[in-house]
Amino acid sequence: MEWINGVTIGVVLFVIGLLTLMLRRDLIVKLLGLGLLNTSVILVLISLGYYTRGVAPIITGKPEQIYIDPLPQALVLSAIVINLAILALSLVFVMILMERYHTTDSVKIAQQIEYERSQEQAHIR
Amino acid sequence: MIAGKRLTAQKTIAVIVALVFLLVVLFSFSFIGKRPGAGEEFIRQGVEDTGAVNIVAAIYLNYRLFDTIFEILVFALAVIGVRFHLHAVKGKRPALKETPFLSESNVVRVAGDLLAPVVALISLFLIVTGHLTPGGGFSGGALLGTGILLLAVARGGEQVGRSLNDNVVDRLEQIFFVGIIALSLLPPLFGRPLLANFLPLGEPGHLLSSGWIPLYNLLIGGKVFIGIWAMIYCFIRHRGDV
Repeated sequence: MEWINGVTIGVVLFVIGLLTLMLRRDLIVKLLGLGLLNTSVILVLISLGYYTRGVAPIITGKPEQIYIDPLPQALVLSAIVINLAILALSLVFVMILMERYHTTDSVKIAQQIEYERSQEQAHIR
Repeated sequence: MIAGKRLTAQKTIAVIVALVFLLVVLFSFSFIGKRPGAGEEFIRQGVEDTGAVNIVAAIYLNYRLFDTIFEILVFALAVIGVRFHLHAVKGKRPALKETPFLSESNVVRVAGDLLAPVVALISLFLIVTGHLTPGGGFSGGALLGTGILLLAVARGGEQVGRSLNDNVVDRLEQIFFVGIIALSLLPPLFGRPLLANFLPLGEPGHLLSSGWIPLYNLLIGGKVFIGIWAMIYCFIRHRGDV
């Protein structure tokens, strides 16, 4: 059972998020998949810096302690903040699309945009 | 029918590509062994260099402060984007009610009133002791923003928005953002290189130590709190209720 660790679970969650982004048609569900994808990347990066029986990188002065690698934790902080920023902004964009097309179905929105464009083309001719 | 078949084929291709991706990534990760990473250097030198006991805070507020400043810039841009684009969404935009339907429940109101000060206290503790224990400006600010959302659920968005309205939010956001940028530009005046700590390091493990890391934690905590409240307030006003 050595292979069940944060890295493996993180990669599996990443693929689930990727499939949600590709296969689901609802924009809100797509955003949930995007959040899952972001979180799985954070999980992978944190797990790569983890040592078995390591303690948090807060120096207490006790000897013979294995400290966890602090570098991924510090860098993942940016990923978390950017995750929040992307999700909040894209939620607003979904609201704008919802306002205009009255649906969150991405395929239907694409069809309506195609239809509007063809109407415009016909109008120009 | 043809369109449906094409869609099914596309889905099958997507699943196959994702599975191949999964196998390739898992295979390549299996070569990464456990060995001392780049963080060893920070653990050995961190306390001596920065005076902060929490090495993660030492990295993101001293060694790599440049990254953190741009991270704050990204967050500020997201807040500006949400506030700007939500104005474009007309919606129904109903008037804010004095008492939202949730607070008609006594349980929600009493629990919110009881819990909000505790959440605020914990988040202030996280912000102030960010260089000593796990925590810091980002997590503390996010917690404070969530606490004020709790208050808004219990008391109604209108009542909280009366004291923290657009003018106050704008002014505080400018103050915190300019404070963060100005603090990072100060060191040349004290004969230090740009983005280098110029305050005395003090004794590691004490509250007033590690130079400007507590100052940065305070400023970042305030910035994150105000940013999250600005976004929540926009959504509340758009919806007309919490």
